[in-house]
Amino acid sequence: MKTVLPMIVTFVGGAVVLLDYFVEGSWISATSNAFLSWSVLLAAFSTFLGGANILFIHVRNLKDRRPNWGLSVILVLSLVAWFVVGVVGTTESDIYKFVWENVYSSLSATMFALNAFFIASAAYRSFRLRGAESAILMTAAVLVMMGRVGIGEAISSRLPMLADWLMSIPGTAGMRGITIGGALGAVTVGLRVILGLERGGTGMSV
Amino acid sequence: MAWFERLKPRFERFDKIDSRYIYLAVFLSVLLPLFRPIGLPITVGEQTREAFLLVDGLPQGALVIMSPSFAPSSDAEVVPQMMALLKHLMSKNAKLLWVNLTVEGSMYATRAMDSLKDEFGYEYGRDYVITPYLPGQQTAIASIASDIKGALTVDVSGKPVWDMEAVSGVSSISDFDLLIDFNTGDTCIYYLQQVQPKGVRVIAGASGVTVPYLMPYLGSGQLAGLLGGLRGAAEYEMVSKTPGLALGGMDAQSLSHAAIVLFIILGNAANLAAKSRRGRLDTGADNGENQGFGYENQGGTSK
Amino acid sequence: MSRDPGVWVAALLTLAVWSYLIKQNLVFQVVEHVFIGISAAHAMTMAYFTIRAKGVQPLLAGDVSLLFPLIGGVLLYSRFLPKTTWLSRIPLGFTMGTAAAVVIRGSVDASFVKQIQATMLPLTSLDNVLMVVGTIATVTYFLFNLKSRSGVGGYLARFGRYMMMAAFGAAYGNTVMMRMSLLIPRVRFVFGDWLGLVK
Repeated sequence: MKTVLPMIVTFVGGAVVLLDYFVEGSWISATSNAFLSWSVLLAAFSTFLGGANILFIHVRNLKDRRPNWGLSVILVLSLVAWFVVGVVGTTESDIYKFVWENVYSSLSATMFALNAFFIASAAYRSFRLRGAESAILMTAAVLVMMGRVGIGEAISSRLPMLADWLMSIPGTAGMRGITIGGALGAVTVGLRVILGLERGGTGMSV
Repeated sequence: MAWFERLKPRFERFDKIDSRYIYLAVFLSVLLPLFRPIGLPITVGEQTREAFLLVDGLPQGALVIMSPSFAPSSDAEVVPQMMALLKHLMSKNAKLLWVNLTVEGSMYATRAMDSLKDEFGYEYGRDYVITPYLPGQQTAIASIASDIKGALTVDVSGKPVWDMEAVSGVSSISDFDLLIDFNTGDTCIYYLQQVQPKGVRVIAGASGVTVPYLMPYLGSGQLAGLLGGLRGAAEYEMVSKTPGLALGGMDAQSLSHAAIVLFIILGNAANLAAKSRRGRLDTGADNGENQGFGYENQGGTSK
Repeated sequence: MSRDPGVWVAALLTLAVWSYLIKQNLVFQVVEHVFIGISAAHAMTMAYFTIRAKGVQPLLAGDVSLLFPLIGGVLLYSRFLPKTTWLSRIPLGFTMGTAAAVVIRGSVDASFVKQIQATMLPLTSLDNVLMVVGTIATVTYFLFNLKSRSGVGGYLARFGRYMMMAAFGAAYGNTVMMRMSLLIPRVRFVFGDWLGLVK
C-alpha cells in the first residue's frame, strides 16, 4: 500500500497528461487540464514548504543553541515579520514594496554581483591552457567576451562578426547535439518515472 | 622564448597574488568608465534587428503575453531589455497580459507598468492585466498552453481576468500575437516546447548565460527573436531609439571584459613561470585525458 | 548625495555585502541571514496567495474537485512526522508523473524532431557542412559515447568534443558577460544614485 499507492497515482497522473497529447477527446483533455491545475497548486504548497523548512531548521538551531544561533534569531525574525506584513497588508502595500525594492532586491542583486569578482579570480587562478580542447574553449571564450562588447569592435570590425559566427555555427552545433541528447534522456527518464521504474524522487528506494 | 625568460621572475610573483587585488582591479574597470565614458562603438546585431522588426510589424492593439521569469539576482541584464521592448510595444498600443512564473514576476510587472503607463496613457484592465504568481514552471506553462482561461482565473488583486477589456476576446493561447519571455533559466525553452507549437510566436529576452542554450532554437526558427544580455538591451535601445541604462553600461562592460582576458593571460603566464621554476612541466593530473579546465588553485577571498 | 531613505538603506546594505570581499565578517553574516529570511518569507507569501486564489476560494465557491490537490498539498507536510512520511509520496508521485508527461510532450517535438529537421541543411556552404557534421559529431560523442574507439567513429567523437568545447567556451564568455552586467548597476547605484558622483 505504502509503495503501490504512490506508484498508481504517478502512473495515472502521467498517463492521462501524456494521452492528451496523442488522443483528441473531451474527457481526456478536461481531466488532463484539471491534473495540470492541481500540479500548479501542489507546486504552491511545495514552495511554501521550502520556506517553512528554512524556518524549522533555524528554530531548531535556536532551541539547541547551536553555533551561530544568534544569526538564526535574525533570520527567524526577518522571515516571520515579513511574512506577516505580506499576508496582512498584501504585496501591494507601501511597506512591502519598500522592503522588496530597497532590501530584498538590492541584497539579491548585490549578492549575485559578488560573482563578478569571483569569476575574475577563478579566471586568473584556474583557467589553464593544457591542450587542444582547453585551447578551443579559451579561444571561444575570449572571442565571445571581446567580440560582444565595444572594445572588440574598436580593435577590429571583424571581431564581432567572428564572435557572432562562433555562437551561430560551432556553438549552435555543439549545443544542438547536447539538446538532442538531452531530449532523448528526458523522454527516457520521463517514461521510467511514469512506469514506476524511477522512484528516487518520491523518496522510495528503486 | 627569450622575452618570457627575462620576464619570468615578475610573472612568478603574480602566481600567489592576493585575490583582493584582483577584486580591486575588477571594481576599478567597472567604476572608471562610469566616471568618464569612453564612447566605444556598438552595432546592432542581426538577432536584435529581427526581434525589433517582429515587434514593429505587429498591428495596433496586438495581444501580447509578457512573462518576467527572473529574479532580482539577474534583473540587471533583463530589466533593460524588458523596458526597451515595453516602450516599443506600448507605442503600438499593444494589449498586455503579464504572466508571472516567479515569485518576483508580479512585482516587476507592476513596477514596469507604473513607470510607463502615464507616458503612454495606459489604464489597468483596459490595456493591460497582471496575473499573480503561477508556480510549477514547466507544468504551469503546459497548463497555460492547454487552457489559459482555466490556468489564469484572477489577477493580482483577485478580480476575474477574462472580464477585462484588454483580454476580453481571448478564447485560447493561440489568440495571442506574441509571447515575450524574459528569462535567466529554462522557462523560454518550456515556452518553445509547450506554447510555440500552438502557433504563438516567441521572443526571448535572455540573460547572457542562457543565450547559448537558446541558439539551437533560434537557428531552427522556433524562436522568432533573441535579445542576449545587456548587449542585447543596448542594441534594442539603439535600434528603437529609446536610450536607457543598457547603453550607458556598455563601456564598463567592455573594460571589465578586457580585464578578465588580461587575468586569463596573466594567470597562465604566472602559472607557467612558477611551474618551470619548480622544474616540471604541467601535464595535468589526469595524464592529459581531460583537457578542459585545470583546478589547481581555488580562488575566493583567501590569499 | 541622495536624501531618499530607501536609497540609503539599499546603499548601506550593498556596502555590507561588499565587505565580504575584504574579509568574512559579522556584518555580512547578519545581512546574509536577513536576506535569506526575507527571500523565504516572500516565497511563502506568494505561495499563500496562490493557494488561496487557486484552491481555497474556488473550493468555497463550489469546485469540490479541488479537495484533491488541497488535501494532497497538506499531505506533503506529513514528511515531518516519521510515521506518516509515506503519505507525502502520494502528492509527490502525482507531481512527478504529470511533470514527466509534460517533459515528454514538450521534448519530443521541440527539442528532438525540430532540432534534427533544422540540422538537415544542404551541404552547399562551409557553414552548413560545419553545422551538420558538428551536430552529428556532438551527438556521436555525447550520446553514443564513442570517445574511446578508433576509426571514423573515434575521430567523429573527438570532433564532437571540440564542438562542445567551442559551445562551452561561448557559454563561458556569456557567463562572464552576465556577471559583469550584474556588477555594473550596483556600482552605478552606489556612486550615482546614492553619492551623486556619477550621472
